Amino acid sequence: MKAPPIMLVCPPAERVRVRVRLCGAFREAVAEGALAVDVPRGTTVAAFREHLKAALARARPGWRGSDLVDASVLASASEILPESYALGHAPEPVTIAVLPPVCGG
Amino acid sequence: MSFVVAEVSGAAITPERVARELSGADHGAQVVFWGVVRGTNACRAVVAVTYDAHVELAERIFRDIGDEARARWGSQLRVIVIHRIGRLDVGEASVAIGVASPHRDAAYEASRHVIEQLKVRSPIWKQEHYADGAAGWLPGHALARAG
Repeated sequence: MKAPPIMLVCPPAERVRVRVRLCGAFREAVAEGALAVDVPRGTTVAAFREHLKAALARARPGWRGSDLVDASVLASASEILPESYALGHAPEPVTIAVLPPVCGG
Repeated sequence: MSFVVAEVSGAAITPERVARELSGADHGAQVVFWGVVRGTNACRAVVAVTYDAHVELAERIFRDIGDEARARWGSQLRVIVIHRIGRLDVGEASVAIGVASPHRDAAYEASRHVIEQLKVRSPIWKQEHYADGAAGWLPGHALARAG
């Protein structure tokens, strides 16, 4: 007797809410200066940029900020995050800042 | 007293504060640079500038720059970096860089180094407010991606 086929069901990727602090020119898109973006847990910083672009487009339709996102880096409270850093691996809430090109002084 | 003072603040930067932080019996030279809000930029009349910052990271980077200066020009160097945030009128000080050292060469060179590094590495942004009522964030230097 032939064994029934095994059905492989992959659970949906767990999602994590990333709170994004908007700095500098990003405040034009969202006056409150912050945005929440839900992404699959483990999304890298490099991949997160596309999620951020989509979230900004939803928050402020017509705002042309894709190039600014590409020119920006993402940071924690104390350091610029590596592009390969996976968001949501730590148990604490994920809060990051998006830093556009700088011009202090 | 710390050899590196790194601060981002909404409070006005005063000459008295800078002088107090720099004073020391072994330091025969003090150089202080003041960055001040300018009333024109690119042929437009500016009435004010709003400074935004990632405060925690900016202060850490100020300390890094100060430590780098001490490694290069001597551990006796005292470095202070104070940057304002918020809306500043034309003529107000946005940043003060103070360097004290035993001799003047190191103080001049380190001061220039600190302000130039601050401008390209510190997460600080400025929005100019113009006389015609418009406002705009200035373009700047992209920070280097990590990793």
